[in-house]
Amino acid sequence: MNLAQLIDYLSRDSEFQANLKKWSVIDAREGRYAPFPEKLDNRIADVLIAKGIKQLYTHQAESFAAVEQGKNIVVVTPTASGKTMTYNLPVLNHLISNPEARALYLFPTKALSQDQTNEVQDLNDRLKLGAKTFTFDGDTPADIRRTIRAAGNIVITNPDMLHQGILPHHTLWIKLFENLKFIVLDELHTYRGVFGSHISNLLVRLKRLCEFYGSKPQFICSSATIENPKELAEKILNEDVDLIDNNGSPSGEKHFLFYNPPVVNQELGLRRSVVSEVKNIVRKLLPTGAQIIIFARSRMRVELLVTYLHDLARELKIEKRLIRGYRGGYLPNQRREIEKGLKNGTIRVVVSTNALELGIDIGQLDVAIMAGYPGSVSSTWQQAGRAGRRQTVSLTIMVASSAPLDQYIIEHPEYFFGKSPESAFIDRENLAILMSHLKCASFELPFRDDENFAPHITNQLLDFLVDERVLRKAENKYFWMSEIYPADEVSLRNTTQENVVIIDTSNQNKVIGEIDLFAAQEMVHNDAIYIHDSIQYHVEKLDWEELKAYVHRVDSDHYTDAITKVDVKVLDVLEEESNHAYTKYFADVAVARTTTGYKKIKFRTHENIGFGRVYLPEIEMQTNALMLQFPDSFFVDGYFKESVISEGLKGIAYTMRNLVPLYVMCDSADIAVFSMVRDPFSKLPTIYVYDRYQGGIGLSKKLYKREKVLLKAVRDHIKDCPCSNGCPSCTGPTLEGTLLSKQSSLRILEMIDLN
Amino acid sequence: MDLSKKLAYYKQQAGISEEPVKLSPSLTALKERFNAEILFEDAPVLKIKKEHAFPEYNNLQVILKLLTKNEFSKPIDRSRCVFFDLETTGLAGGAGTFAFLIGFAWWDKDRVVTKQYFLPDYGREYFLFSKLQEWISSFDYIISFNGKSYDMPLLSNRFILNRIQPLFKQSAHIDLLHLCRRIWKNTLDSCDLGSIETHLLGIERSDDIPGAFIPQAYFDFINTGVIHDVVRMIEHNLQDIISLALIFDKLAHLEQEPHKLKLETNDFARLAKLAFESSNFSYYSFLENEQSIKYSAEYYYWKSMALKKEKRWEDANLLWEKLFSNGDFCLIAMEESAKYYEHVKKDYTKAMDVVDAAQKRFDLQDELGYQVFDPQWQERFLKRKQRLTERKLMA
Repeated sequence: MNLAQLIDYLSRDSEFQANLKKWSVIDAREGRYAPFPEKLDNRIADVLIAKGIKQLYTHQAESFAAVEQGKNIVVVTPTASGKTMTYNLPVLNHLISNPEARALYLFPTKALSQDQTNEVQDLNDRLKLGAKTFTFDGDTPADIRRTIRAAGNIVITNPDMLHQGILPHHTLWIKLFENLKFIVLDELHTYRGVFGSHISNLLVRLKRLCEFYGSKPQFICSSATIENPKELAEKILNEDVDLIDNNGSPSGEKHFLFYNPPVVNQELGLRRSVVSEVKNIVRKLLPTGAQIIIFARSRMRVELLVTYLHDLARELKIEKRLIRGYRGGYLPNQRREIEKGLKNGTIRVVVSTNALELGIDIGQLDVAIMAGYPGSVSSTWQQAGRAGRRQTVSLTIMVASSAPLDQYIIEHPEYFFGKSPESAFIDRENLAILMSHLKCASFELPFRDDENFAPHITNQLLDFLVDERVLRKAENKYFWMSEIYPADEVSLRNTTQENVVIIDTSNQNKVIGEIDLFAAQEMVHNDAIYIHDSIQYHVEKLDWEELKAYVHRVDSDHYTDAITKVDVKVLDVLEEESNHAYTKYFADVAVARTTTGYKKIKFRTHENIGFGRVYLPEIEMQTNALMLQFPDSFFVDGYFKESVISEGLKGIAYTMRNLVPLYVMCDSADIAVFSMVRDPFSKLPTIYVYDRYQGGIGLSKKLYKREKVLLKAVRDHIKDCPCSNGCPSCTGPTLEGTLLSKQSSLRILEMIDLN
Repeated sequence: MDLSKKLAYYKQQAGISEEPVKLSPSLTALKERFNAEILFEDAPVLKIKKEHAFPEYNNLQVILKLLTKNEFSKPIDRSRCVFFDLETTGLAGGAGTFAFLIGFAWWDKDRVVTKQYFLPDYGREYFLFSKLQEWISSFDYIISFNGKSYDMPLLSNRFILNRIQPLFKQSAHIDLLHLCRRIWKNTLDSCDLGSIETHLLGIERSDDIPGAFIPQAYFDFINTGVIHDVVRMIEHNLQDIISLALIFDKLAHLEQEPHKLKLETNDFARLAKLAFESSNFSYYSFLENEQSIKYSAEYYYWKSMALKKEKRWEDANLLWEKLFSNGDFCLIAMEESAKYYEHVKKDYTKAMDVVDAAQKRFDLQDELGYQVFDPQWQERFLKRKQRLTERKLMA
């Protein structure tokens, strides 16, 4: 049975069909081509022809033309559309006539940058230009570093290395900076949120140094499909950027299936587990000989699936080594071997985290299965893109978990297919991030007092640093006056450097993870049950002075739910607007949180079986918030006793938090939503949504403008959930005696005019 | 009118200038303290020039052929060298580290002349650097202590930031730290300047400001104008550059009169290694002219390897045989000796005897019941034994 026959068979398999929520067919698309551009050097054309490439896809030709005209571009293309050519062609074409020129390729991770070196190197070798391509990262040996600085035409690196290793030592990189012609930013869509805000600041630093050395590089970016690639690129680069999204690559027919595992416990809203469902589906698919990629959301999930599938292999008498896992933490060699196995077809099934979602070259496979919704529309399409050869039919199956976001998507396929992917955004003005980069920039090159780093506020910030004695103002310039090497104090992947490390005392004091201070109070307070990679740990002690949490493995029948006291102080209302139901505010707020205790809750029954106290200091954070405040007149109905309002708002808050990623590209951990039945100042029932990052990261700002859309999704989701009194998939785990959550949430939402 | 405007108005009325006074009282005090000169009115820099007589240091030509592993094979005219050392605002390096005190020294006959530039604030490098750019390059050699990885990149950094070409980067650069390490790495606790100074020159510093305090001391000076620590830093830097000039002179003895240096048994072993590496075979007999020295097994090992390099097989083998009784070098010497008999002399019986002697060591080890030798040795000898057995049969 081949894949086409299997698809046909599945369409008649009634057991399978019963769980299918949507079967969508995307038609095959013909390739659209353009001849080699006139300005493309003959030598390059010859090399391409020798490789069997006789013409370009339309988007490749358009990119080439735009770059030749000196424009910055962002190319939006699906997986496997010949994206690397969009930057390699113009770069090599320039190098042919300008052998001293330099290009800097930035990839979001080290793994990706190593993958790309081979590709450029291959073209380069065939061209026999003598242009040198190097990967520069933490593993590069010291003697090669010297060569790269002096002679690397194309330097491939990642943002972290640029931030800590290149910019602070720019005087060693004179050749690069003086001759820098192109900067390639691949996977631009990953530069969003906190990381993106860092990258944007990092690029301002880079451009500042280029200016010092007299170069003005051009940017070539590529991005997965998101709603606003041009906007994102322009925000990150602070320059005009042309969008190229005329994808000319062909693709075969694609089948996209939404699969919701059957409910096994109505009361708790529990469905059959994703892992065992995926196993069943793979059982059906394996005999077709199709190559399958399975995406799982966590590393642990990957391992679990591989174990299950190896069992299956034994049943079906298939060799185990045909089924492999792939995730961060595997050794580079091992990963290369798997990538190769996928390309040449010796590996049949690979289970991966989103590590394989980005542009690592593994060729095209036949089937993609997502074990759980990947978290965003954009990611989902990226992952789906892994299945689909140019000529033949391919299949993508998304298997939903019980999580609210998964359930929303699976129950509303029209939302998924109708909606353009999420918009990605950054906030260049997040004060904490801006400040750290301003320090790094001052270290790299003294600021002139008429210079601009952040529009309007550079001087004020620099003067502040002078008062802090970090800078010294002399001769109309601001000089770095500290022993500290500022780039070491800033991690691009996080806003605050302070983290609590989690140490497993039952396993040779191995560090098993790190969490930020805010999360630490809630998750690893004394006596908490901390769940990491599906393993339970009991927290012996949270040492707040040393920022260490000591845990050991346990097998517990309960979990803990921290009781956190949250105080929100409104510092400044920036915007406000009222309607018949509530007043919404967008405000600067100070959030003070302390975990004061915890409840012990039994697994499965959710009985409250105990209570403990925790003594921890308060932590304060300044951030942005969206607040929805309901006037007392809104709750005139006798049904709304204070406890009922409280339950209802809590249910709404829980669902909201989980559905936020539908509207802005973020993780549900980036945002906090909570409610108070009596706000301490206004004494009114209030829902707060705030960014969980010092200084805010623009999430609640974005939500301020579209809160109704979100509330509507919340309402529909709660209404459509098959549970009776609320469940973890909608309004949250139901505890004893709090059975009103779902009902009350819905009544409140139905009173609001959401059209 | 808001407060900041009011304050500005108040300042103007009170005659308080916005511009900081460039020739500050602290700078004047430093000038007097050191009998120094102030350069550049617009961006004042302190210049301290002094001369120090050292008649007992009289190696006008310094040969460093051995120590630099032939990188500098010609005698170096000591008056053509400039010694330099920086005091900076941070040890991490990078573009934001500032060198606020730059000290130079050079030999003029039997005197060391020192010239130190102290920058009392940021932003005053340009004029100084334009002046120094060619002056530094006028010397044939630049000599530093740890300058290859620290002072030199940092100084050229500062030049580039001021858009002045660091021409001196092209000059020959000798880093005394690297040379000293080659001899004293195992004998001295540390090869930092202080230890070398004490060992070689007999200098003990008192009231020396610890290097780690220097950045903060400079920041404190900028913020408060108190000169106490600046005086200590200038004295510290002065001692550094004088020591460099003296150590350089002392190193000349190595290839001329080694007994004039306080060398120990281990040091001779290092020298023997250097002589082997730079193929300087005459150096051994030169060293051995001096009767009173006790040589270590390692010394003989390196000497034997040098002899081997020279194909003086018999002499080398004599040394190897001498080493058979040494715990650390017996196996390596036995292997060399076995190689010699097998490949050079083609005397497989003799070679086998050596291999058997080695085997006895392993047997002894087994009897003792604990590991003395790296297990790979036994394997190597076993392989040799097999090959020798075959060869004997063939012959």
